[in-house]
Amino acid sequence: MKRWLVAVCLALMSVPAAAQNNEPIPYDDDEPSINDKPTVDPSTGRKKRKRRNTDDRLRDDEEMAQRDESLTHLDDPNTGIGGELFAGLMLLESSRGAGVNPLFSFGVRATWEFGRLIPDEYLREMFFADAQWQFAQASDGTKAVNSTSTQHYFTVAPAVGLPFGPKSPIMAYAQVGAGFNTNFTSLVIQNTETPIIGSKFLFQYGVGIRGRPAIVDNGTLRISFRIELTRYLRGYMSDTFIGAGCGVIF
Amino acid sequence: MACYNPPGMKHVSLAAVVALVVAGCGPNPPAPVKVMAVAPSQTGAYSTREVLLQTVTSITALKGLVADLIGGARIVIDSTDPVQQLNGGLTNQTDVQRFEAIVKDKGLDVRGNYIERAGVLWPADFDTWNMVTTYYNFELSYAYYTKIVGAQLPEIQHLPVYYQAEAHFESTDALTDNAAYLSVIKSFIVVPQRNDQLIPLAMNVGVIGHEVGHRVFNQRVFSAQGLHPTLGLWTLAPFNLLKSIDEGFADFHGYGVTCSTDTGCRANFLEVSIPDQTVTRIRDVSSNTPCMTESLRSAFKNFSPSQWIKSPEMYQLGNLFAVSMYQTGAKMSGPASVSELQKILINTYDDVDPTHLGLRQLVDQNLNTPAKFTPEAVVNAIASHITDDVTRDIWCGEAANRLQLECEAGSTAPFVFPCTTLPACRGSSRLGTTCKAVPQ
Repeated sequence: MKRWLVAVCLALMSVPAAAQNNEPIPYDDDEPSINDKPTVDPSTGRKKRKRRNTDDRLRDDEEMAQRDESLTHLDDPNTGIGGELFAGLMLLESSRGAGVNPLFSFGVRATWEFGRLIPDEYLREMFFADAQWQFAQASDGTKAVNSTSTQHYFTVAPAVGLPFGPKSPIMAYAQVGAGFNTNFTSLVIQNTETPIIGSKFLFQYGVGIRGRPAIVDNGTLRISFRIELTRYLRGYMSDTFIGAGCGVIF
Repeated sequence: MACYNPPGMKHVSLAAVVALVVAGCGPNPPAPVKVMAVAPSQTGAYSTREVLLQTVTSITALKGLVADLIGGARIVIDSTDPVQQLNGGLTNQTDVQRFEAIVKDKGLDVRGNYIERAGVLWPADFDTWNMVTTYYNFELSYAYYTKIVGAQLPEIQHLPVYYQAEAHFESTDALTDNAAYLSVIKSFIVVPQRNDQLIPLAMNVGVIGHEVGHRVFNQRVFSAQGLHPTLGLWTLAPFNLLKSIDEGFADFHGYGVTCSTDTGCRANFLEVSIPDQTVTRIRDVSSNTPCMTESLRSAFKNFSPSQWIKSPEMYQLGNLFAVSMYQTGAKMSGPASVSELQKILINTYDDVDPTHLGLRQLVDQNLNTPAKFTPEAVVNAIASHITDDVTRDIWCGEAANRLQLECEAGSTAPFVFPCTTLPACRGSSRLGTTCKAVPQ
């Protein structure tokens, strides 16, 4: 798996590496020159010169496209790495069996737009991944018996987005990820505390809208923001997060 | 989505784990299940304790032989509700109709949230602690009642428990700080607690034992009827007496259930949950001071059913019965004898033997002659089930003293055995001297 990933990464990186050579791409020797005299096709009687010009134009277009791609990558001022703070409403699944326990939740995430490794102008804007920590806390009970439970969600989640248009800094995205949830519960019974700590596998999925408009002319610094709806499968419990966040991306 | 774990499954494959995660299934080890609960310790203080749930079939949904917990239900008793007015009201409806009319939202399975440590499940939030402890308390209650009856009791198996239910009883305000058995829907409810409550009622084993006591009383004395005809036909003293003995006997059994904890028997089990001592003191079954008073007797004879069920006097009168039983046992040879009286009391609930009829028979025979359902008749029914002469003498003396019974119709103290209103009591019975005589 690791080897495969390395191979894919190298393959992705080799394209821009080759494109960094500024020497002109030589024409094949057996291809006709643009200055060749026109000949007559014996079957049609038409001049072949015209056909060759069309082929040449197509080839030129492809070449130009390749060069544009290369330039897109070379001209990109962003590393695609950034961070965000986010907050919102965590609808913690209630163990009471019905409904949810609404809680304020916040977190921090690091984002890597790994799509920038792809030379294609369109695809390179589509992919990013988050590594994040999120927090929510619930308390309940009576004076004599009460508990405080804090939920820590640690996940890594790649995402794919669809920009709202060419060159649009705003996109809709879908995200899937995994990680672990750590639960710290403090149960206090008649002033005696019992701490309980445990972790569970965490599965994450969700959708949202993400923007990254430039805030300096050369585009090296952008703000990033998003509105999201995320579900966490915390073991067999399901939590829903509705929130928003903002940060910067370089 | 159904969740299933094969019994005895020890090794779980990766595929099974993935399947469980996708299906949203929780842990479901076969019983007995090691789990942490909140229970009284030897010092009397409540603390976390590892317990074995012997009967649970789903530790996540908290379902098993003794109770089925259900979350998120909405229960409304509202006499203005057209559905509850059908057929002339709830009293004329079938059990199924009543259930449908009252339980507005049937709720869903609860989902206990656990952290596993060395094979022991630790509840990971307050509700799961509360629910596990509630289930454990139902197990202790079941063990108590089966022990004193000497047989398995299908009537207290798979009891529906509406956990943290939203309950409205003729009010727009939801009920808080209570746990109750609602015979009208044959279910238990545990409603949300307020912060000033001490040990949550559902975590209090005595409270659950008390509520299961109501279920047993309903099954045996009221023939398992959701709304017994007496509740519609009787009023004043007979009705009030019926409600009071239901409460008093439930307290006496609730006390009995507490004896299986590490703390041992806790006669005033409510005091750990309710901060108001004026409420808890009148429920203490071990107190030696409760006596019939003029004001209590006046309330007993004159309060309407709606007044009585909201009044502390209902519990005070019931407490006189419970205290009489406790003190009778204590005067014999301590808790062991109290335990004997608990068995006698259960046997008194339903007995068709004409030489010592049970309370059910007493109620049914007097459905249209409620004036014959008197404290004397109840005390006599219990006395007739006490086989040991000395114990019976003490019971008769204690009950006659605390309840200020009439020896003959309209008689006044001093009370002298034998008397016609208590034919089961021997002439050798001696009236207790704890209470001051109150004119009839």
